[in-house]
Amino acid sequence: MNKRALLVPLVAAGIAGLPLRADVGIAGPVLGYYVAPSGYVLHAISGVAGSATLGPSLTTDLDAVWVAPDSRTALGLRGGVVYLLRDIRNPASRISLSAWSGPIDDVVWASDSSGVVLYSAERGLLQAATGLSGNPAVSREINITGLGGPLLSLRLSANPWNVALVVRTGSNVARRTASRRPENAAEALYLLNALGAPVLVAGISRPGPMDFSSDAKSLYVVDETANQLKRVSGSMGATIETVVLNSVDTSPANFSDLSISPDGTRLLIVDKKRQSVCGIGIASGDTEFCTALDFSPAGMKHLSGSLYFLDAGADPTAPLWILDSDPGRIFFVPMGSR
Amino acid sequence: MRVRAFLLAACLTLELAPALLAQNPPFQLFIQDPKSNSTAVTNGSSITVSADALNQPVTITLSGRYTGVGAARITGPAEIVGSGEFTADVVNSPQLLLPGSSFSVNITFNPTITSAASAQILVPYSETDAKNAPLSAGSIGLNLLGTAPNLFITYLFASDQNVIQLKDGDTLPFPATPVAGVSVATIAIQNQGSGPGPITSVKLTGSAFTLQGLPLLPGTLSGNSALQFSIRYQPTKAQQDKGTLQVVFSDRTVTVSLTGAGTTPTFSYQLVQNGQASPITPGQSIDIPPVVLASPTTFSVVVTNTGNAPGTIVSAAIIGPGFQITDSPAFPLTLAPNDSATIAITLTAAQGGSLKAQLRIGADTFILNGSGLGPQLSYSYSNGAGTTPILQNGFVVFSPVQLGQSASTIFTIKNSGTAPATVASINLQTAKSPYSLLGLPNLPVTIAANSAVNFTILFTPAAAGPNPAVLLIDATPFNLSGSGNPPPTLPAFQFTGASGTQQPLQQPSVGLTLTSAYTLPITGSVAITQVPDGFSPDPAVQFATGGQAVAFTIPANTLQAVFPNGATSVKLQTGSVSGTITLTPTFASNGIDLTPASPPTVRLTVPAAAPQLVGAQLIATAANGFTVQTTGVATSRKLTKLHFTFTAAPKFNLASAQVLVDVTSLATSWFQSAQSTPFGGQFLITVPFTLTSSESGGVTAGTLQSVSVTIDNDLGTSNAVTAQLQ
Repeated sequence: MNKRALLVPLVAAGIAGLPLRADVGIAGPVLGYYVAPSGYVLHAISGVAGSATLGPSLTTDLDAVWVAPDSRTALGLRGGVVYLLRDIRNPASRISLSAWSGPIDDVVWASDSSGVVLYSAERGLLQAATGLSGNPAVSREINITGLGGPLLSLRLSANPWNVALVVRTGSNVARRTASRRPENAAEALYLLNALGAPVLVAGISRPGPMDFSSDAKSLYVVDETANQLKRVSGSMGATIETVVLNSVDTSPANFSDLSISPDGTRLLIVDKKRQSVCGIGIASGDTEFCTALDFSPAGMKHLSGSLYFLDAGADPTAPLWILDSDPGRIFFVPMGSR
Repeated sequence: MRVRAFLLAACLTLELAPALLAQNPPFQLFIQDPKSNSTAVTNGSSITVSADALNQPVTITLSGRYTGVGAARITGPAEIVGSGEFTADVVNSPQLLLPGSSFSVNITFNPTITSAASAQILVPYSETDAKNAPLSAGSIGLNLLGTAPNLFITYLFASDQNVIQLKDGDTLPFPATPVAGVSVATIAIQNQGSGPGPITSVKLTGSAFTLQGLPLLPGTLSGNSALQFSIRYQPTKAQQDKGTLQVVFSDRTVTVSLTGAGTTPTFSYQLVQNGQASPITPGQSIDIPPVVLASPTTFSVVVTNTGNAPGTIVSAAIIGPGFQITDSPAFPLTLAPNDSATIAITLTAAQGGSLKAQLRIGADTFILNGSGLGPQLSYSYSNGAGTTPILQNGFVVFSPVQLGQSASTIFTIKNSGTAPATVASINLQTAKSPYSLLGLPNLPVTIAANSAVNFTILFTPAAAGPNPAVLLIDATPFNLSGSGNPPPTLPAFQFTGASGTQQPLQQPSVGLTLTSAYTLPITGSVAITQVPDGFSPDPAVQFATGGQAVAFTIPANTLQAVFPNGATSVKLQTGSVSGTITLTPTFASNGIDLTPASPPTVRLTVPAAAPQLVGAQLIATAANGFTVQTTGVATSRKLTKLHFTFTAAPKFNLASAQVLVDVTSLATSWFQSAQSTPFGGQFLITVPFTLTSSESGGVTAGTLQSVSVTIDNDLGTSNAVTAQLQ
């Protein structure tokens, strides 16, 4: 109580004083960054949702760049070296993380931008960088060639940076397309707790879209065979529960992508068959919004905050379609200046 | 004829000498002709007896019926006094003629000469009474006049007027007559006898001969009179014609042979080449050996009159290229039978290929075929209406084409010559033209003999009315003639979707709909015109497809515009600046502008209003402070005061939770700066807060739960947004 009694007048005194005018800044808002298909050209998305434009390209000397969901941190590759860009607009913030041989085929960020995992299909290995907001650490290289065929899906949780991955197994190991699964293909879900050894999650024969909960304790994954959404939790994925979805129209097998909202309360699903994107309350299983789209979405990617890119396909004239998961609004960013 | 003779005989006159005749013989007299027609006559009257011909006797009967009361007797034979050509014979005469009884006498006239014969017939009688006492006696008498015809046939021609008699078996020779000409013989049947002559019939044979002026027959020709008619001879060919004239009289038939000859000139022709003559006939094709260019050859056509009459050749001429008459007699030219004339013709080839002409000599025609040794180019164009040859400076005619549409024709260059031809260039005289050439051969192109090359001329009118141009094939020009018809007028249209007042940061949809379908496909665009209330427009005012214009199409016979996303509407951003956004359409069909002079537009108005806050967040914290970012939009681009209201964390109280930051000048500077232009009326205000404390331990931001932010301008206060501070 003494402390409290002491603090109140101090706090009151502190905030009662006006900030120095020179310290108050004004600028234009930026929604996030868009990486052009070339992989190394960045555009700032200027403005707020509903009135945003694609800004001019931000040229870098990187061979490839991947922007974190915080729209500030990025990973870059240049000359076989992986760099961390703590501030995407500040070249001086760049630090090298590790050497990297060959191309990077996939980069997956933790939802809080604290970690990132890289994948090389050629080399059949994963490598993660964690603690990016503080002291970055690079994990060992994790060879996944012994798990089966190509990597189909990859997710990284927040600290402790668990990894979930789906690989193809069986006779037909062709890479899965967004719309069609190869005949006679089998798939397997593995969990790497805290970047440890892969552990097969049995009981989900055909895993589909998946994402970690914001607290990294659960993995939500579609069981396409059962047409159900499962929650995998516990050490080594020991517990598999079926998530009850109350909407009769919701069919998990039709999900083409899945994300957990930044606040961890909402399951965001992209339903390609129904051409819609929906938000489902994790606790209730109720559909909280479902927005029809003018296109068939192939997936979603975290942009920043509550915003997600929706993959509208390869049409160069199509705008960027963005979902604001709170409150479930779709808006576009014109692509004329792309 | 005997009937007519009897009728003539009915005209009786009394010519007998009274002394020889009884005054009133008691008899009623009758004359009966050979056909038993009876006529009462009086004693002493004259009777004409007409024979049909010489030596053709005719007999009449005189009968008398006794009209007295006693008895009468014919006392002697009937007596003929006068011409011995009459004879009489009592054929019925009882010895005693009682009242009512009759006698009869046959009188026969047998003419031997054509002059009239006169005689009297006397029949003596006596009459007694019942007591046989004589009552009267005398002779019954009639005067007899015998006549006979003398019929013969003559003819004459007007050319000599000589009358020539025709007898049976004679020949009437018509003079030589030109084919289709006419010769006329005048035929006369004359009766120079003393009595009428019967004509039974006149007949003619021979197709070249015809009768004219012949009366209806049979008939009788009076004495000393004549019957005239004509025979017309009109030959149809140059040949001998024959026929007959047959005149049938009562006693004979006269048959005369008719002869005539048609005459005509006949032209025969010979072709003379290199001293060799060969006959040719009209209508025949004359093949002349090919000639080297600029090396003419000459040949002749000899015309001879092989007919039987002189003939005139009015003219001689050649119609067609390459051939020319270079020597000939003067025309018109008359050739007597067997006379000849020579026409010299020269063939000169200016270019390779066949040459065909028509040679006309009088009414006769020959086809002249020749050829030049070398190339020969000819030109034509073809379309649905067929193929049309075209010469240099000729016109390639296109049917009128509606603007926005096209028509094409295939142009052909044909080498009809005997050697290859080379075309170096094919182009339009003017580069910018409503015509285009498609499918051109690789140039220069060599066209073999009897080969052709084609290319297509596409006409897409650029303007209504005539669209002239010139096609050049090497240096040979051809005129391209096409006309453009204006396209149909665009139907009325209307915008659908958003209009009127719009809030900032919105992405409404608009569409465009025709009130009635258009028959042609339409392309167009909708352009944004932004009139901001402030300094500069908001670049965020764009269509979803990017930019301030969006293209669309309206397929033919449909109503709705289709935008690049395949939908019938397109989204746009209203931006963050107050002002008006006007959408103006343009329309075109196949490149032709269809936009009305003042097309209907749609206006969206973004009002100037109090600021809107989008969000606030804590972006940095430190032991003694934190930074809050506030995002929002001010459509008027004006901000005044920023209000922060802090909420203490649980278990803490705040003596003063309000902080006011005046951002008027800051916002003014921002919104007037170039840096703000890309953001329109949007802003991101960063406010750092430093916590001060008199305690040595300091104060952390953890003592604050959240902050609520609002912002003012001259139009009002914004909504509140909250940032969690822990």
